[in-house]
Amino acid sequence: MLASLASASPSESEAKAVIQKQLIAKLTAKEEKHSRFSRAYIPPQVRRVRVTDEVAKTDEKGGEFMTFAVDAHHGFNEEAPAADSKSWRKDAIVGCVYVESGEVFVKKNDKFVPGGMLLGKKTTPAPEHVCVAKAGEQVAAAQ
Amino acid sequence: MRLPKVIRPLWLLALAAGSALISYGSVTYFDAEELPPFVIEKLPLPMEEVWMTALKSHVVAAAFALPACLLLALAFVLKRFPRIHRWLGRVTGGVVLFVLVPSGFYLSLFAKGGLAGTLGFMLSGAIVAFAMVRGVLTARAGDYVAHRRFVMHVLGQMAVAVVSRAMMLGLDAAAFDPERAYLIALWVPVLGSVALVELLVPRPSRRKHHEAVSRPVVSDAREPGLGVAV
Repeated sequence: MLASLASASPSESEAKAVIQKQLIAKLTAKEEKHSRFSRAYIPPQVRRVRVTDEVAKTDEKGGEFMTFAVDAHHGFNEEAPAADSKSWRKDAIVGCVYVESGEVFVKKNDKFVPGGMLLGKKTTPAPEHVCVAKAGEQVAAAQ
Repeated sequence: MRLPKVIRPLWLLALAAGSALISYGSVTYFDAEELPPFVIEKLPLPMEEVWMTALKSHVVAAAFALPACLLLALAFVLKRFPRIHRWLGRVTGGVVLFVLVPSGFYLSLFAKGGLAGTLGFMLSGAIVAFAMVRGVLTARAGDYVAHRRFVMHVLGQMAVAVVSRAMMLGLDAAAFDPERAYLIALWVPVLGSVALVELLVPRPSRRKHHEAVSRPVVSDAREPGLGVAV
């Protein structure tokens, strides 16, 4: 039973694929449309996604999610900086992904909001249970 | 101190191009369907509608005021069309004092970079407001040497919008920390413009002041708003 549950849980690579498709690719496409001669942030040269949970967590409503962080790299002449390069700006975006539904949430001022907000869509804060592991799991994770 | 003659037209041209780029990029602020990155990074905002109104007012006012200031600085316009210079000056003064500066002050309260960002924009706005008022008063008094000096401070601070963005691109290319780059790209042009105008635009001496008041007909070398690159 445990084995079947484990195999049903989303993997890190699946989580990364969803984040890449639902957030990073759309964000990059949006940024390409906008002028860089602006007071808005200048889009990074390259981004990398890190899934920060080893295994998926379950929220109060039973949804499985994994937390992630997106690091950004600015500057020219370094298409693919080394993974341990200090030039990476860590945690430029943090959030969580529900692999099964393909939903991505990002943290903004200590609240989670749908990732669509970064794409310019008008959104409202996510419900309280989103991206929060249910009580038992939090204790287990802490131990 | 005077700069080589070729620098001035190149500088005005660069500012005109920068202004056009900024205005073109600002069209996105009026898209009701999608929020642009500059707005997204500010969210959530208290009284979002008020902030958006201030932003749109500021954008429209700046899209008019910077090119207008560049036109006002042209010797050709001043010599051939002095009435247009005067009327354009009046309209620009009104737009700057009643729309650009007040909306800028409100937006500065939510500036990136915390207090340092807010103070940088407020200082720039205060210089613009003070210099514009003094510029209007000296023009009305016929003191064109002083008028040129004050309006050059206005143009210098307007130029911050262009220089600052160019610096941000350069600092980003050098992989500077974005927060620090934002503040450097704000404070350096704000203070640099003040220093350059003070350095390059002649101060009205008592004799010059007397001449300017008693003889308002301008010469090539002493036209208000001319002869300097900031």
